[in-house]
Amino acid sequence: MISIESIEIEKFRGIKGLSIDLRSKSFAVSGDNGSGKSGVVDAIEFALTGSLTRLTGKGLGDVSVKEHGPHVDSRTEPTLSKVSLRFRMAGNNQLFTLSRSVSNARSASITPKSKPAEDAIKDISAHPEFFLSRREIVKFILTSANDRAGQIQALLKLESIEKIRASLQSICNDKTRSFEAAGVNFEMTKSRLASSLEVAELKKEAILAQVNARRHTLGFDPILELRPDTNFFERRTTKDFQPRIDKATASKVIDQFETSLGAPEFLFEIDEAKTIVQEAVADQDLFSALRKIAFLRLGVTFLSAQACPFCELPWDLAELRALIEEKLKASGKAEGLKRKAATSNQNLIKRIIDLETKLENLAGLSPALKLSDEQVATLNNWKQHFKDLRDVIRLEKVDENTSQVLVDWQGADELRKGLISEMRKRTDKLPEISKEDVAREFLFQAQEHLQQYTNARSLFASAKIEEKIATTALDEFVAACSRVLNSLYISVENDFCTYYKFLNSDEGAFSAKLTPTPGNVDLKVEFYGRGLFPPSAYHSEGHQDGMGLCLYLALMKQVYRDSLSFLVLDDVLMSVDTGHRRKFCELLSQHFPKIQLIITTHDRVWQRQLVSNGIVSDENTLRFSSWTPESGPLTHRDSDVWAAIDEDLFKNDVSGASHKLRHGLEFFAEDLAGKLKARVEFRPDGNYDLAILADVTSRWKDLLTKAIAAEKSWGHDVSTLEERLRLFREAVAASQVEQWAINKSVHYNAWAQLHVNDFSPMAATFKTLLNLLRCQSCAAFFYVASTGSKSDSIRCKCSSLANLIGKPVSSAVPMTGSGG
Amino acid sequence: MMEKLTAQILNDFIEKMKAHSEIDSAAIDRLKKTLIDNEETTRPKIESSLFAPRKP
Repeated sequence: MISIESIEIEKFRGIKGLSIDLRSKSFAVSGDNGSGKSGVVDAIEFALTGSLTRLTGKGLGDVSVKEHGPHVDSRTEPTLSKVSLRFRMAGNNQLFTLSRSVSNARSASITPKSKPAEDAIKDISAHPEFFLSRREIVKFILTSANDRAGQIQALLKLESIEKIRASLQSICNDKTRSFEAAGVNFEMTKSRLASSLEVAELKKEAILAQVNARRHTLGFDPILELRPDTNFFERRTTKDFQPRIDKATASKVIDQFETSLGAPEFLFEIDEAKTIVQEAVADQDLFSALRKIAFLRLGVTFLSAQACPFCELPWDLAELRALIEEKLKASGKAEGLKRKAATSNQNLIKRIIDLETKLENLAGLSPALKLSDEQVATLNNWKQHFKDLRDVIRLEKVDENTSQVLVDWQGADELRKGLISEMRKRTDKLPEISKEDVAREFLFQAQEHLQQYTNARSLFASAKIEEKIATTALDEFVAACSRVLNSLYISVENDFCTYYKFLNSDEGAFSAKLTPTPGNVDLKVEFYGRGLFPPSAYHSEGHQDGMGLCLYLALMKQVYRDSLSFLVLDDVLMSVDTGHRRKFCELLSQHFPKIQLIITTHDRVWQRQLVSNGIVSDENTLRFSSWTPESGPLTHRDSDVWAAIDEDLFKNDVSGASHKLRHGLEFFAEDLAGKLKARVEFRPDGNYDLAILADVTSRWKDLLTKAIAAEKSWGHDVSTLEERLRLFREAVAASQVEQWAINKSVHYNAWAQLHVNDFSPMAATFKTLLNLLRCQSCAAFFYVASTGSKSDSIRCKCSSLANLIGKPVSSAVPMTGSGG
Repeated sequence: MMEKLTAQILNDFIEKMKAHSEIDSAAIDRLKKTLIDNEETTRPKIESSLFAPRKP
């Protein structure tokens, strides 16, 4: 574990030069929009990762760290733009510095070099999620389940797991399709072989009987065993035998087709299949889903190029493939109906395949029967029609022609009466051939089809094994993900609910359901006992931001366990109200007490809450204002303000010095008004100007007067307090601050017109005035300590200056100080 | 360096794959080498690990 000891920023983003001493503790930077506070978080992110989330993402194509990382006035000198972070290692307290320059953003230097330091930086660099902005929070909540999964996977470093899953899914889909195609091919070759052997089923005895009868005619020995390499026709090769078609063979081919086409079982099964198809066509949603599946399946086949075939824009192939696979999976009802169609129409599909084979044989007669081109085209059209019919029945082909395919089917009778009848007539003109030639033709065809069948069977068997392996791999992978991640998601869900309930005590019964499915993480949250809804359904924007933070913290806890060392939160509570922000402070201090937080906010109230809740100490806060390109942000730390004024005066820049004095005094006055509980005129916009310095001085005099009286009542020496009051009155008179409250027109607006010799003593007067409000030992401003609404004492960081409650006089009624 | 959760999932996956007798142990070894040792996640690499190259 490491923590940030200090930050040194030079000419980076909106900052010209800034050093911040964090002392390995939490730190808060506040400032209005455009005050440059995000420059600090950018610097931390850049030093650790070499990149900037703010300069990456959609719509930021023209922006880069190299060109836009340096301060706007140092664009041409990236070597001068650099950030150094000094870290402290927990355990041995060893210090090391990490430095990175924009000119060489890819590599950072670590001094002094050590393996533990390098490992620690490597570990954090791999997890840029330590940086969170409101833009990132929204991505956890107001997003699709798929995008949320992406965010969570990135945070849990599971992108590679998702890539593997998408690859396995894609392999599985391809293997399933190959298996289906090999199955159809196998059925076709089987049907062709049975047809050529003139057997109903491919049984050894029947096959050998048919083959041996022809072999006997030719004087060959009978074949006794059937093996894959059995040769029916061993004395003739395909080279020296020219098959001829005779009248008997042609008649047989026509008979076989007509018998299959007119089989009563076939017609009955067709009618049965129509019911499922019509169900799909009648339901508009189902029909659309089936069409979408067909479209997406077709789309998958185009996913081999690196760019879209339409617009030619490059795409992320893996991401797109995974998206399409997910969409396919999501069409549950439609896929169910498809499965039902494939299962219940299994026999019919085999019959159609058989019919297609027989139609092929029929088409093979075309040259011998001298069919015209038109007649050949009719046969080919019917071949396509049978294929369409097969696809429609399996619900693979669903489009506006689906119903037409079923209607067209009824035209098969016309085919039989027309073209087939004509073909039968023409067979009479075919020659009669010898019984030896018929036997040779039979064996030749049978041998060809046996070869095709053997190959197809072998391919089908391989495809079946591959489909099984691919399915098993995908199933086992998804199961492994579930086993490992489900318990993690349950912990995240529990922590998320705990944190959210902590922030929102009025939602004590709050619950949430985080449901991971491959590629998605669905989030539903409970809304006041009314059920589970998406987070954006009823909860306010502030609550949604709170949810985002809680989910982020719950996930970070799982990612880092006890090694989470620091978090950078960039204005993450913009939409959260004061009460909930206070609860968030408590949540951080109770659940993440050891984590160093670097928090930026535009809200000074929240910065004070962070201090009062002990998340950050007073000296670990910084306020930015008055950013200009030339100066960068103006920081309101004591030493910074007076050093910057001295520097301006040295350059005779009274205008710059007066600007810094005014903003510095405004900051200190506001800070002191809070510490001393001064009564100030309420401003709804929270923008208090320098007029409240008079309220502060008046309050301090009042407090000292009360303290002198209280201390006297206890019999304590009050000479120091009286001297402090006297000096303070003199300083107030010298600064004329209380006159401004009466006549605002003559005050600080005229400072810029002064000569340097007039301005310098005036600035020194204010420095003296403010120093009188500090402890000389610890240099911190005094503050009023209270019990409930009662002001008890004036204190500083190191000790108590004075009591404000006097000794009870007679009736045990204490003499109280000002109630503030 | 592989992230802990990723390694946990992959190891679990490989162990469960070993229980399938129909899958060649050489294929599982290749898959382990691809996914865990070489940290390869591309589809072609995974596919060629899962299925031995076909004989010409």
